[in-house]
Amino acid sequence: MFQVLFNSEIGTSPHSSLLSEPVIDPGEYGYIPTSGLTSGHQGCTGCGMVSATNQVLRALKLTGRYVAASIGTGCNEVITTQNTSCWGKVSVDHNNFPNTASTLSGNRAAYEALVQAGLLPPGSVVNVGIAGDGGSYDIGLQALLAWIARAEDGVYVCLNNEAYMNTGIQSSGATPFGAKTSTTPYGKKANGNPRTPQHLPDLALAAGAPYVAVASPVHHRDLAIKVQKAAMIPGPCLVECYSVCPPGWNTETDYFFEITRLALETRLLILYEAELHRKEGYAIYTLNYLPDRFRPIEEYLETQGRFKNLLRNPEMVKVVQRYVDRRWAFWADLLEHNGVGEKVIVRLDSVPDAVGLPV
Amino acid sequence: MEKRTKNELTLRIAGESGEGVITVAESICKVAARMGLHLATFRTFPAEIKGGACMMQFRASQKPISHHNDLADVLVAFNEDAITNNFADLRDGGTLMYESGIETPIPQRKGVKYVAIPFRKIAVEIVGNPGSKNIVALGILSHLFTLPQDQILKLLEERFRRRGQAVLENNLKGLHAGIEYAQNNLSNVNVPILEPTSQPSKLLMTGNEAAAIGSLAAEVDCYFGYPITPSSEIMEYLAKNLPRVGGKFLQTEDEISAIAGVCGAAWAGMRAMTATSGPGVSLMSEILGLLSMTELPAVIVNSQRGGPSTGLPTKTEQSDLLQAIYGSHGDTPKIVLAPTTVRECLEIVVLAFNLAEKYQMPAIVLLDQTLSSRLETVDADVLAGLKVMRTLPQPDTLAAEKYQRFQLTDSGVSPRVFPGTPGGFEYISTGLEHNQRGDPGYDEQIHTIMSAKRHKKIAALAQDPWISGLASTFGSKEAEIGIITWGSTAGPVREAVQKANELGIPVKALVPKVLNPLVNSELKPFLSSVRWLLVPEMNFTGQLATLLRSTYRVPTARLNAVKGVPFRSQEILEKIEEIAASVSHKSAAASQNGEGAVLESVGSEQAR
Repeated sequence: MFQVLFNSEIGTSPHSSLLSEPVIDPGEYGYIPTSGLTSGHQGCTGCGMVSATNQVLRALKLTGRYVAASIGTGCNEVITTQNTSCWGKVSVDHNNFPNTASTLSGNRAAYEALVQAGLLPPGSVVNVGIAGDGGSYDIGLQALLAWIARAEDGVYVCLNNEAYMNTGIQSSGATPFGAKTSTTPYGKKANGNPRTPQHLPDLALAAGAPYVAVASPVHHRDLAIKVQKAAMIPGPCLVECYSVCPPGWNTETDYFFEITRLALETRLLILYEAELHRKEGYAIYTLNYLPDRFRPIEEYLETQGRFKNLLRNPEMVKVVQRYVDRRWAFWADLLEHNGVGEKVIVRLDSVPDAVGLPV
Repeated sequence: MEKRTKNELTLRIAGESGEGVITVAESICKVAARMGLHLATFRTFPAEIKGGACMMQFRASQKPISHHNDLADVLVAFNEDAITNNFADLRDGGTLMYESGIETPIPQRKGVKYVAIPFRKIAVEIVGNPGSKNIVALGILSHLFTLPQDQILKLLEERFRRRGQAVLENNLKGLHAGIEYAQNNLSNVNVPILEPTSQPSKLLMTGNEAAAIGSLAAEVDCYFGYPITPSSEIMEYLAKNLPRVGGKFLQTEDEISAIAGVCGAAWAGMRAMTATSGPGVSLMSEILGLLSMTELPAVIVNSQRGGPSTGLPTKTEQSDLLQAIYGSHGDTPKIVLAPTTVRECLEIVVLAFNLAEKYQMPAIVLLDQTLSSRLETVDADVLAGLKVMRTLPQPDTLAAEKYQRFQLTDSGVSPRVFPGTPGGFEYISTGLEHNQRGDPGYDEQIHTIMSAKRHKKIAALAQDPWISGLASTFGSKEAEIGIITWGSTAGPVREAVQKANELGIPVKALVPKVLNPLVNSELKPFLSSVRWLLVPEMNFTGQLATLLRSTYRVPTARLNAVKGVPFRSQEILEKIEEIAASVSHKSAAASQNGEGAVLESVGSEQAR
């Protein structure tokens, strides 16, 4: 479809092949001197999405532009609209479930009309669409891909907690294989979610988005740089945020960091960005984070109650491991290109310095 | 000690979502249902995902009941907010049991009995976990209401066994601590008692569960759905149970695909359904029209919530009636049914399948959030009385070479043949206007004839023996004030009518279950026999009243509320009293002037 090029640097850089100037680098500790989502939201304890939204808004404000958000129905909307003051100085357009991207399109068109009429200076507003995985992978996919196809300017942030959480944990297109949700139960004739998840950044890139990235709220600097790039690069850019959900995943509330780390070390979650030079026909992939050691997938699955039944079935665990390994082959090519040797898989308990994770 | 009321109790338990409020109330409900008592419940949901105020009220009675009652006999409050939010709903002379650890002043009212109980302290000291306070409360309440202990123990075992022996033992410890506390400290508390009755055990289910069971009973083959509050329970129930009976469950990416899936399955000859709420029906509208046009059966359950748009996702409303009847562009005949109780949710879903298949058009079943989520007892004989009637194609009686899928018939219903039937029965199913063979055609004759054909079916349905006797009537037969209502509002109306008649105000009520078509044979005799009509419904504009006024010339008083909670019977009773007062005033004035009745008589309604 397009030629795949690998970035010869591993890690997060404020430079982009699509930007003449680098974006602001918040430094190692990711300190950002702006305010994001403030108190008053009603997110659950340990919610990854709240932290992600907070950091996304902060990063967007770093661009110096006024933030206008179009938010789709979902967890994020429910928890931030009971006390709307938590949005601070951000204008929010809450629309329906299927149309986050279309509303974003309308918001942008209105802004461009105001610029054309000379009522607002160019480059003064950043339009961001924020929706969950249900609103992006399922019901909002048509609007999202069409928005990308129209090549309009804006940022789309998908807060992916891998199911419909606010309606009672039903599976979505992003739900992992074998996860238990209320519509993918376990039983005599059912083994949890029978499908593997779709991958939205792939879909968006294939549809022609100039910039797609996967970020995690645990990696502040990486997320801040990615969101700024998405805002500055002209065209429809997408950032997907991995969002831990304690009630939906059936985990303890204080292992947000550990779960994310395990997701990365088992290579289920891969932090990367891709820049598409659409007219030239090539895309540059950058791997942002390479764990020191790789771990078997069980160690991630064991942290979450939704995989309890899956773990009882070794064959299914093997399916997940194969899925992870095969998907990694792409990145193994990148490592080879960069002269990084093959990594070995190490079990958590076989590493003396590893901190034991409570399960 | 004064005599204690027996088997007549309204209990409300309130606290923070996640505190186990619902567990306590549901446990007592389950035991009461096993004892053969009738139950009606009401619960509110917080909009938040976790946390937020939550409460559950239930009423248990020896006699059949239709409403969860306006005021509670006993209010159990776990925190300050629970008292503030619910104190007004405690009746005079009722008992307030509250967490003794609450530091703010407790509101005082004459006649209310106050009982402070250290739920939290007992849980911490004896079980070692403040989270067990709900089980302590269960122990205390089960002792006070004299529930059979063996039943409670059995219930806890069923509930906690799977979570391990330690969890079960902790809960049993909490239960016994509660019972012991009640024995030692609360012997002089006078609350109603619940005793086993001679009636057989009852089933306990929510309206959503009943609708899902109804669809299984109706031999549903395929379910397509998309999660939406408050209908998701139907989907979750079928996700688990439909594959067990050989059916196909599919979660689609949105409601448009859900109804389109139903459409495809119906075309292929399957019994298919979907369940959603108002926003979902809005998305489905176009394909509802396609189902009407292509004359395919489908069942759509709409558990209504507050609208428009995202509206009040966790609150109740009855504002989708006109959408159900008139939704989708063009003239689209649809069957619209509305159950009034949990038992009827089950029965009406079966009826919806039967009618949709017989008349080859979509049938919408209107539930609402209260009906969907309320637990109610259902007699165990409910399944035995169900009539699943299939109207299957009979290709043997047709000549393939002359086969016309949309053939004009007396009833408007054309012979259906499933795709793949051998013998050359192929036809094209299209949303374009078509002739009897199914070939597209737009000339003026075809559209006129086919529109009439599609509407003929709905007229035929109004005469169908399958729906005769479905409407319920109650109240005093000679009354001149009549009430017509629909859906879950029938519960408080039944209660209000009974109270009014006890007060000497003659009132009667009619509750139609079929709302499209309006069944003239039900409505006409009722409307001819009353002079003044009241239509209470939970929407802003009075949708059923508008519908009735468009068809019948009736002087109609509307009673509308969009508070997100069901009517209290008191509100309806007050309106009845108001009408009764104005009626007697007007009658007196009329007799003085000798001019006859001032209000227009209802008897002169026009036939449809």
